[in-house]
Amino acid sequence: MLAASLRLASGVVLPVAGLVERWTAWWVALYHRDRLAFTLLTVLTIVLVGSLLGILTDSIMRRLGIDLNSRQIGEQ
Amino acid sequence: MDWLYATMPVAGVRIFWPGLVILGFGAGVIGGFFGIGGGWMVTPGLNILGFPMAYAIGTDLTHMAGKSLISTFRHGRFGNVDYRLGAAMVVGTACGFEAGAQAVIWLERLGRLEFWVRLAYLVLLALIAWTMLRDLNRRWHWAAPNGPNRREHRPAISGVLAARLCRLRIPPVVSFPRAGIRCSVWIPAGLGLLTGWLAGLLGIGGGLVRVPALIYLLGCPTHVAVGTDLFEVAFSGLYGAATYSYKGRTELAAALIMLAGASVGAQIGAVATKYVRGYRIRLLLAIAVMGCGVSVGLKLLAGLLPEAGSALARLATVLILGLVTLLTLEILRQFLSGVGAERAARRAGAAMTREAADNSGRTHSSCERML
Repeated sequence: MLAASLRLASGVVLPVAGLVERWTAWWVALYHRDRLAFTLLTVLTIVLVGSLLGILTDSIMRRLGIDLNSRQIGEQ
Repeated sequence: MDWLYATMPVAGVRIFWPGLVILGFGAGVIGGFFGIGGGWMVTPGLNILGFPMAYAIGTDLTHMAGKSLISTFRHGRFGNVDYRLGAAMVVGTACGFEAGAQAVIWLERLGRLEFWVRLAYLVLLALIAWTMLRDLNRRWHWAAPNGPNRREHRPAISGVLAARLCRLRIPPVVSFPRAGIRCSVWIPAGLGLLTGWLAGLLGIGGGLVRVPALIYLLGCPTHVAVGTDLFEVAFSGLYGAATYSYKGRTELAAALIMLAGASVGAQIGAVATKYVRGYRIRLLLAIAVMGCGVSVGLKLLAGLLPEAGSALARLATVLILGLVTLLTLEILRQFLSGVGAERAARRAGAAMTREAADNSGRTHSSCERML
């Protein structure tokens, strides 16, 4: 059973590690080859990931029972 | 424990990645709560984790853009962002930032730039902290049970300065409904120019200067100042991310890891403002400003006393990280107690509604029986 779980674990980990390695190599190559594309991709990725994570944490907070649509501005 | 370290593809350094998540979370909480980017705390933190300084600044600005977007959306839903005011300021901020950066290049030729910039920063932080604490002290004094006259309305410093500025009716005069201000558009634009210039000159994001300026010089409610400043920070973060990426000094992998922590932290910080009154936010911000000022002062001393230099610089870093930890814990406490109270109130409301429905049902059935 242990051997089976290890096989499963290595089967999962290795493709992920390979994917990360390929992505890293491609990213470093882009950094050296085309700085403008590197800049645009950095900015776009940060905006997209930021928005996605914002939506995800929004839904988690809503599930916790927090009212995320209103607050009283108690000071002027 | 090798899996706890990741090699950064661009900078080529091995980094303790859980440290990035924790740093992002702390910066998110504080940024979302105070409406600041938090460059003064994240850049030294990244530097300690092993990033060279230029990469630390670029990575900080990149994660700041994503984090501020999340906080701006959240504050926007609460009605804390005056987009019109933000738009009036953003052009001035951009021009001011460039003028500040040019002033740095000019000062560099004169020599001893770092000393004078740190001294100016220290004076500015001391001035901001003094204004905020004086305002808070005045308010507490007048609100005390044995104070001079509780019923008498005594305007705070923010009211006096803002009223004088808003009296300048240079056309076009515009209303900023969220902030509840009506003034010449040149005033927020000029304020953006001034705070942008300071930010460019001092090499900071500017939130630590802009939030008090919005409160004291424009008369914005604290919550709106926080939300509107985050809108500005999102723009300046994106601009900074683009310029530093083009110079090749941004580590996207680290920024994304930080953003995972910051997205949760930014939401917590922004939601915590729901449960905290404006004056308490100002008190905590004054503490943050003072802590930052003491840290800058120690670095200034480190430059003047070379024999104690490294010890003082270490002390400054410890002070900043300690302050960030304490502020994060305090905001988390406020958030948890606020969420607890809100859920309890909702449960009590639901129970009352159920009880009322049961009672009306009982009355209805007894009426039917009587008929």
